[in-house]
Amino acid sequence: MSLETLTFSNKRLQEFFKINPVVGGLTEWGAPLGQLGRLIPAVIIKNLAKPCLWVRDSQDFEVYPSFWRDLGINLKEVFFLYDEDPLKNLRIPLKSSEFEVIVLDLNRFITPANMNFLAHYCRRQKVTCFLLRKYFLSPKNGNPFCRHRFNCSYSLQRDQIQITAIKGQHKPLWLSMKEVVYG
Amino acid sequence: MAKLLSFFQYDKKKNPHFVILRFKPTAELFRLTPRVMQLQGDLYLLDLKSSFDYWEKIARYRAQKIGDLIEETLLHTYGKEQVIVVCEHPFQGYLLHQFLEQKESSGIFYTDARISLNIYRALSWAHWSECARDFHQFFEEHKVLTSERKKASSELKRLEKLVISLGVKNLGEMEQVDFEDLQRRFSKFIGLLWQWTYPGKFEKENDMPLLNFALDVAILDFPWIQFKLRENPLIQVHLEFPLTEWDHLKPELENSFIKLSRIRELRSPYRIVEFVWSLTLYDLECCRLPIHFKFPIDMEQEKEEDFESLMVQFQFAFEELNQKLKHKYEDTDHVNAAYIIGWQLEVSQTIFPTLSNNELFDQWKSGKLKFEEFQNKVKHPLNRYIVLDIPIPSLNFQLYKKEESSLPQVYRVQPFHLLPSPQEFLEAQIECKRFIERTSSNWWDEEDEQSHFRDYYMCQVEGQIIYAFKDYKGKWFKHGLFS
Repeated sequence: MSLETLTFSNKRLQEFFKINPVVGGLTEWGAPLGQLGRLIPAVIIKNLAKPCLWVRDSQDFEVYPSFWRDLGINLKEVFFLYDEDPLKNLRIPLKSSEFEVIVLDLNRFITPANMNFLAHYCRRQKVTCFLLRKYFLSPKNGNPFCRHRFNCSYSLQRDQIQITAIKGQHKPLWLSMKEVVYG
Repeated sequence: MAKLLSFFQYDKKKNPHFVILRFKPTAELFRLTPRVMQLQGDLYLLDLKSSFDYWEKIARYRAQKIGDLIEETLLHTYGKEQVIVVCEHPFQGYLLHQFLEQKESSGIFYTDARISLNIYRALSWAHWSECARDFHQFFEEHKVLTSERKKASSELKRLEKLVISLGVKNLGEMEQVDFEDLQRRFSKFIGLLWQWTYPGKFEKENDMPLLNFALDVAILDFPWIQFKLRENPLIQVHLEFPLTEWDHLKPELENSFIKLSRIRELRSPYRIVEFVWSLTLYDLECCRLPIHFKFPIDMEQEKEEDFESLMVQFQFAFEELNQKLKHKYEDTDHVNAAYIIGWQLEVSQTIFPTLSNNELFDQWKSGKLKFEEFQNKVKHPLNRYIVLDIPIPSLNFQLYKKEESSLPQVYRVQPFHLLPSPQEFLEAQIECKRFIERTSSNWWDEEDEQSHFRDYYMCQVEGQIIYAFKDYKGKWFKHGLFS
């Protein structure tokens, strides 16, 4: 999979993901609930237009398909799976799966061994994997297994989404909702 | 413009899932589903529930409606010259089937079709009693519902007398009678039969979807008696030493699979839908684990792939059992959760698909996507969603237009997560808010039409951006989260 597959019409987004390529590797996202942090990963999924598996380990909330449909994503290509321990239960199935984009929206702690498996899996199978965390990432606690680490948040007053590279190169980017959605 | 959206999982539309037809006892009986019940002589009842996903996928790949595909298969396999009834409940279907046969009709009839409903309501009480007696006799032969059926014949006569004295001529005239009244006055069996006559009215409240593949037929306590063409293939294993660990169990289980794959009845075109793994523990307790495959398994194909899908599902079942046993033995001196000394592996459900359907399977195998195969290897169901567009006139009398996979001109802010049910909160908690839209639902169905208007907002509450609505009384509810 070439890096050219991710192309945004928005110049600032294009530049950000050109400097910090996320395709074909493991990326960690700090996206607490209620901060719209999942919007940018979802826009990337739309941009890639590949079959995507969205795995979650919590059933506190339900999936809201309208979010995906209104974003212009083909719902036939997004699969949702709940699993209480995905990194244990999905190891074997993932080996023979044909999902090119995998999102792990997880609450639980991921052991270094599992992180190692994920990084190795992404590199070998050329899978784009997003690991979404329900807290903001801090540069104090690094993650050597991920190629990039970002924090995403939204300000209702300013109607702007901020994306900050915790591991990667770029100054924080402020984008309006429209810029992200039509990215 | 207000847009009205709904999920298909909240759609209350009922899917008929039983078929009644006449056929000879051959493998073709299992073409549509592994679950077949013999009602009377050559009259069979097919339960489409357990293979619904399979047919849905075939229909999708053929770009056909599932109803059309099932109809096509029914006519092609079982012939056009007979009455085939597709129904919500077996007894309901039997009532209609017997009537239509007497009238020498032919073709496929749906109990929920308008014409069938009219015929159904006009069925005579004599016809109902006759069918009720047939069911009584059938249950008698299979020794089921014994306590419910006590004095059933005399109670049926009493009911007939009452109906005659009331001057009731057909079923429709009694439609509103509650089954509990009949049950109290006559017997539990009559109550059950009345529930089964109008299953939609007395449906049990259940969160599980109607077409859940793993559910046994328990529609209003109807007993299911599986028809077997021959004895189910099974393998018995007696271990030399008790085993506790999955890694130790795995090679032994693989041997069982290899033995099963050699059985002729399990070779292509047969596909396996369900296994029953009965484990015998050290204290001779027997644990029965049904393992159901949403997507039917081809044993030969599985053998080539070292039984990968089978192993994954069996491992999940084993771990779940271990978990249960751990809880059970927590307060006892029992040494370990599961000391397994043997098992019986039975193939309880098989399907006999057509060759053309098998070709479809092969296309999927070699095709670019293997999602169906992936489904067999994971513990929980793999979900995909659709958003239903309901063309209800909105507040400004514009219709919602379908925009398939294209970005709307004006982006509507949508939450990422939705709460299972809205939670009330105080307006004072809102730090900042922005109006999104006003929605409405089937206001003409309800008495209080205003209660179905909602104003949706994007609100900031305790640092989180939530999806909230204000109802017409001014109360605030949290409905989702912008995650």
